[in-house]
Amino acid sequence: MSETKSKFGAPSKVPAWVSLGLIPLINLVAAFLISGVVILIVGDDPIKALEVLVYGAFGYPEAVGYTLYYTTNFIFTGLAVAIAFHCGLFNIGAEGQAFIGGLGVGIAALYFDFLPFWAVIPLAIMLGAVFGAGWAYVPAYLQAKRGSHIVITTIMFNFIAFSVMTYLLVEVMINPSAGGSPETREFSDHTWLARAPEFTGMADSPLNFSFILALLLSGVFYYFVWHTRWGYEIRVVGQNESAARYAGISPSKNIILAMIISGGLAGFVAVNELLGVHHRVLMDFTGGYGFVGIAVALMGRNHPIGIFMAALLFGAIYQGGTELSFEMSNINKEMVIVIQGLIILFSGALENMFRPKIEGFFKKRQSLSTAEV
Amino acid sequence: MEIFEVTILLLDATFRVATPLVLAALAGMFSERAGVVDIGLEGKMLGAAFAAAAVATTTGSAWLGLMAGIAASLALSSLHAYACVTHNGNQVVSGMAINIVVAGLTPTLGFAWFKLGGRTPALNGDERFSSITLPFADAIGNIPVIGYIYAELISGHNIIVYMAAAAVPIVAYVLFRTRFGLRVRAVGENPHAVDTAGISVEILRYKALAVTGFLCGIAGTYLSTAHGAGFIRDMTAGKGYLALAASYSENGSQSQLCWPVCSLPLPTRYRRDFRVLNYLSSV
Amino acid sequence: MTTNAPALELRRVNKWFGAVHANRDISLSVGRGTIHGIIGENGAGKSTLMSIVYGFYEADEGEIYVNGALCDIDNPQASIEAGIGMVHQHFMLVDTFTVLENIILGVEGGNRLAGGIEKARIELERLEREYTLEVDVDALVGDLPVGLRQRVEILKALYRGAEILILDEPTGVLTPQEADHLFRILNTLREQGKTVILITHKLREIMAITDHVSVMRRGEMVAHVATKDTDREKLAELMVGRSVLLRVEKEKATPGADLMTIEGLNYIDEDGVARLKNIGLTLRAGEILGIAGVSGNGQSELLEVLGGIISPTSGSIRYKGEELVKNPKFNARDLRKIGLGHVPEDRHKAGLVLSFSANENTALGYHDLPMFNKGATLDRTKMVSACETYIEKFDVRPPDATLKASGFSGGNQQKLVLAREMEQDPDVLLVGQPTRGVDIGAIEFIHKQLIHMRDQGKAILVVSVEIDEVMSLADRIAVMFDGAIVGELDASEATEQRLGLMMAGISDQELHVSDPEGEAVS
Repeated sequence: MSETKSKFGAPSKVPAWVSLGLIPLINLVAAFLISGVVILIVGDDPIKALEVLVYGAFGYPEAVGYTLYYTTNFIFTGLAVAIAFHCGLFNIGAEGQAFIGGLGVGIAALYFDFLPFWAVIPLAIMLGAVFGAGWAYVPAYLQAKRGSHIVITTIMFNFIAFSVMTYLLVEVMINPSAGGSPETREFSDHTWLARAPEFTGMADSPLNFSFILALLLSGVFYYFVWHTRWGYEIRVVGQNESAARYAGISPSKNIILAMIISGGLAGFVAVNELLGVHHRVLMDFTGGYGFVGIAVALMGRNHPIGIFMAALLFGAIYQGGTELSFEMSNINKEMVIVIQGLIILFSGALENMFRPKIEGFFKKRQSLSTAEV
Repeated sequence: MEIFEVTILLLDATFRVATPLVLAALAGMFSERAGVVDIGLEGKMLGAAFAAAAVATTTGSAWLGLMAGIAASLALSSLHAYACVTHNGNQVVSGMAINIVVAGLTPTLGFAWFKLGGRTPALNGDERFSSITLPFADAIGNIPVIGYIYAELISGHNIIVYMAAAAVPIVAYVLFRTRFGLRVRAVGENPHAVDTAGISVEILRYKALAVTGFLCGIAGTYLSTAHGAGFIRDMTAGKGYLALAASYSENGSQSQLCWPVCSLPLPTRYRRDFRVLNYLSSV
Repeated sequence: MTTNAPALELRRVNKWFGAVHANRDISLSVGRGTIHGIIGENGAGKSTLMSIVYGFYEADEGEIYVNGALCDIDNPQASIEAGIGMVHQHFMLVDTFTVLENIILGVEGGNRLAGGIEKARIELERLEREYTLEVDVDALVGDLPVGLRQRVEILKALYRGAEILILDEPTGVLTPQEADHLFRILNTLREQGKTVILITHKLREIMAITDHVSVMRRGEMVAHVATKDTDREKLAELMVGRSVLLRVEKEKATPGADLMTIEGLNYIDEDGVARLKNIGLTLRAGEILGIAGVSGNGQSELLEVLGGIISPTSGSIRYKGEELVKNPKFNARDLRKIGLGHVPEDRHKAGLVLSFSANENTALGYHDLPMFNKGATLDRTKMVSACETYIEKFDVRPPDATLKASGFSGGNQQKLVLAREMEQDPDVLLVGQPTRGVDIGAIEFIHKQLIHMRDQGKAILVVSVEIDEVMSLADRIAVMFDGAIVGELDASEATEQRLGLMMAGISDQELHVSDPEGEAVS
């Protein structure tokens, strides 16, 4: 055995495809197996359910459009949660930040629609991000300066966001001719984002320009986190706060910076949903994307490429799951949530269940093969 | 006099509303004292509410429902312990995952079993915990002030409200006057100290989380079979998070915090707004 | 049980962590009623071995005999039942509990606390008398000084009926005088028939107190000797596997200009506790100023203040004539830019980001310098090439700039930190615990680097709790106690005895007054 090999505490590496490919896959399979058991319990055929799910997600052009439209939201929230993770923060508030982001989008699209499309659309996007960022700023400030636990404050800010938006939509911004449902009037059509069918000739679906934005932001995210000194500082704070202080990197500044970016990214959900699809501000458009963003970031290991893959997976489950509740008599739309929850459970909370065994297996094989040499 | 009566009635309503919060906050406090953050209080309560209502409507017994509720909540807290204690998983992620799974699973099972769009059938008679009139309540109810307080405020709640009231001193006793409590407090402060004292940290945390599960089970059962009459999807409506906030504090002196928050009478209007987690229904 | 059997015997104990063979065929026999020392460098496997005896780890192979009987120790409970007690390096106490509550934890004697506590109180009074281990049993542990906490740990073990007491590096937090007191306690224990196992890397302690000594090196037991048949040099050679110099060779310093002058420096922390009291020091070019003292007497705070991590409450720090306190430049980032390097006391906590690669750590604190940037972009190639230079110069192994910091051994991690701070060519270098947890080979290297830097005319401040290290490195020595400088003396005047008394807070002047044979009287 070589000298370096026997060094204490030196970790032997496992191949990247094992830690980035095989282990997430095994966790995923475990989540699907348990989901299958649930489907058995409710009295349906899990194999058929899986077929319906896959067909519903990718089986025909319109489905692919829908899948990618959901994927867009998950990329935004996944990136939002990931940047906070890089700073060691748990942002459970992406949901509320996206919701308040919707207010920013709405204000631009409703009250500044006298502007031409090339001015009002960037303005709406900007305000969406700014409002989302603003909503994240308060918990960030409380964490950075007062030490209030960000998990608790962001949860509470989800509630507050919900109440604020309910109030605004019911009392202030409501469209009286919408039959009492709490939503604003429709945005004027020059503020709408181009949909995929219009510029690609794809089948009709809500997929829109936001998808391009999501891909662009993923690239910017990668560059920012790993190739700028600001990203470096955020990562130092996230990994080791006392090292940050030692290096003259302010933890509180970076906590606030990371959360503002996080909230801003969450605000883009409103761009996709409101500017791209609904064309009005309405309740519940955030649809749990903020919460699932946690799972996306976890599965994607806080890296844009991983986040894209995980977002695609959850997008497919969302779209395929909707199909599931139409096709199968005993399954309703909440089944999707069960699958999501199980994926979070296995790939997040129980990530250490299979990992040591699998890594041990590959390490053993590796050391055997080096011993033979 | 009118103000007095209104106050009493308000307090009376407060008891009813505060019951699940008090139980869940005590539950949250127990796990936090043991050094495990449990944001899955919400999911445990919701799971218990569903199990209790489902069993109560099937068997016709509220008590069997209570047992089912506690069992469901215990199962979920064992899962949390399995993830966080045995496999050292992230506690927040585990709690989130449990909340989301339960939020999806309860309407899914409810839909498949009862065909009522995810709710359980309405509970009647023995399927629910009904109000208990304490002895002499009718007799002395006419005595001004004291009699009125006794009859209106103290008497006339269901058994779980009294359980919650009793749980407060019991939990305090267990935590501060027993061996188990000493160990739980120690494991939260310094698990290594417990380990070197020859006590298994894992088993201790499992036990503490079992207490959390037990209390959450009662809290959830209360929602569907005592306060309400059947399970409705997302009926916990954020109470678990509220209880968590109430039991949460960094320095371990959290119990003081519980009471002001738990005793807030929550007007229906705001309770509806706590529906945020109901994001799930809008897929 | 046979009466002549050793108190503790290990036969061919093996332990692997993955591919690492942490304990290799260890055999050991400890006689009843003796004090047995186990000595070895950091990472030699001493702690692993004792963790096996105490049941934290299970040996992969081998047997443990207690009083001649084979014991299956797979958890601490089994170990306690076999009569083994352990005093850990980091105390295993609950700060918010009283001494009494800490001691009964795990042996409460019933479901209700009240009865058990009263019984324990009586039993403890007896133990305290018997072993002269006075401590207030109703005090909160968090309020006790470290020396007393250690007594609580010893009482805890005795209360559980320990016949074999293992102490893991017990003197790291004590002054030499406190350590002597501890040794007296250990002697009492030995007289009462208890068996003591002392784990340490300090040769002085082994020679002072033990009956037998076992030497470990790289996971193996390399020698068992009676203490009276050996000496420090022989033990050091056994520990390292080659002969070593116990003192650094260096020329006499030629101090130059005052580079940094500290006057009346005070720091009161968030809880209102005064951590630094009226500190006055001068750092001169071409000189190493050593700060000695028992850990926790303000040295950490002094380094943090001088490094710009925390702001002092009052006082003055002049650097090359410029006042730094209340100066916008007074922060860790800007101080680095004006030539102040800082090797922190704890490389894991502060000096490195363990999950980052070596090259990313190379930029820690210097990440916004032009040398690592290209416009808005971090220049990764420059980080790697700088790191490779450092690795070569400081002989870091393995020479891999992309390896995570956690993948290097303690000594190599410390070299990475030192390289980073020294290669920026600072005029003043603050160094905390330069060789904590570092093997002897690396210690020699690090000491040479520091002396070399001194000889280039830099000012160096070395804080160390190892009295030997301060004495061999420093040209002048200041001793800290309770946040204040007790005294300052030239290295040539320093003796272990004199420094030891100062570390306990007794200044030189007081010494002279109370010493009838001292120069002050004659």
